[in-house]
Amino acid sequence: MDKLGIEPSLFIAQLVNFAIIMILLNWLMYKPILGMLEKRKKKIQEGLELTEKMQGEWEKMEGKKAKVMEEARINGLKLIDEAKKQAKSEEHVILEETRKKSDDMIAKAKMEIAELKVSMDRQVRHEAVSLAVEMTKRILGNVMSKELQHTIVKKQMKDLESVR
Amino acid sequence: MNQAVPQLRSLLSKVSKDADDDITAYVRSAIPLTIEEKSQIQKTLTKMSGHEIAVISTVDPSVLGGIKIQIRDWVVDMTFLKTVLNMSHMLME
Repeated sequence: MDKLGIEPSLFIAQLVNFAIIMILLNWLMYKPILGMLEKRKKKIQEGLELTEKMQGEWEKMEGKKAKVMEEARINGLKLIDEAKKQAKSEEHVILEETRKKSDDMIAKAKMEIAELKVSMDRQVRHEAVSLAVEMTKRILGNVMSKELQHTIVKKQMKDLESVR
Repeated sequence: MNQAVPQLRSLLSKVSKDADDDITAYVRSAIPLTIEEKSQIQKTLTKMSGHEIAVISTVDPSVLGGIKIQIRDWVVDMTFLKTVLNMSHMLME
């Protein structure tokens, strides 16, 4: 060792120092760093697990969302079908009411026309009779001579006498 | 026209029962009646009723022909106008 220029006592002291430093480093630095690393690793692991869990939850939610969307689509289709059926039913009812109303209107119009016809017939007959009366009066006025008038009066007096 | 005569007969019988005073018959015709016609009417009515009946005649061209006799409230219408109106009423119905 001397030949190498190494002082044994110094060397030993160096070794001791080194050992002390190693112990100190191990106690003060290595263990806390290792703990920190372990904690970080644990945190990362937890994060990964949480991520996986979230991924699972997200997938579940996606599944639920798809299911809800499908249900909503089916419900929507059902509603549309029902609405169509109801509209068809109402259309039938409306058509029936409209047909009934139109029938009533036609019946009423026919009745009014019949009444009008009766009224017009009556009016025409009245006018025709009035005209006939006037014509008869005029004809009689022209035809009846004084002689004929006296003849009629005499005839009527004979009728009177005959009932005595 | 002939249908009116029985009415006149029943009327005159009623008039004769109710009559206390002279009764006047109002006769309406389309032309003026001659004296003979008026006299015949007066005689006929008097004989039918058994009571004196005076006759007052008036001219009404609207009756067209024949005579209408009115005694008190009763009327015996033998005019053509009445016949025409009866026919028109029948036609109206």
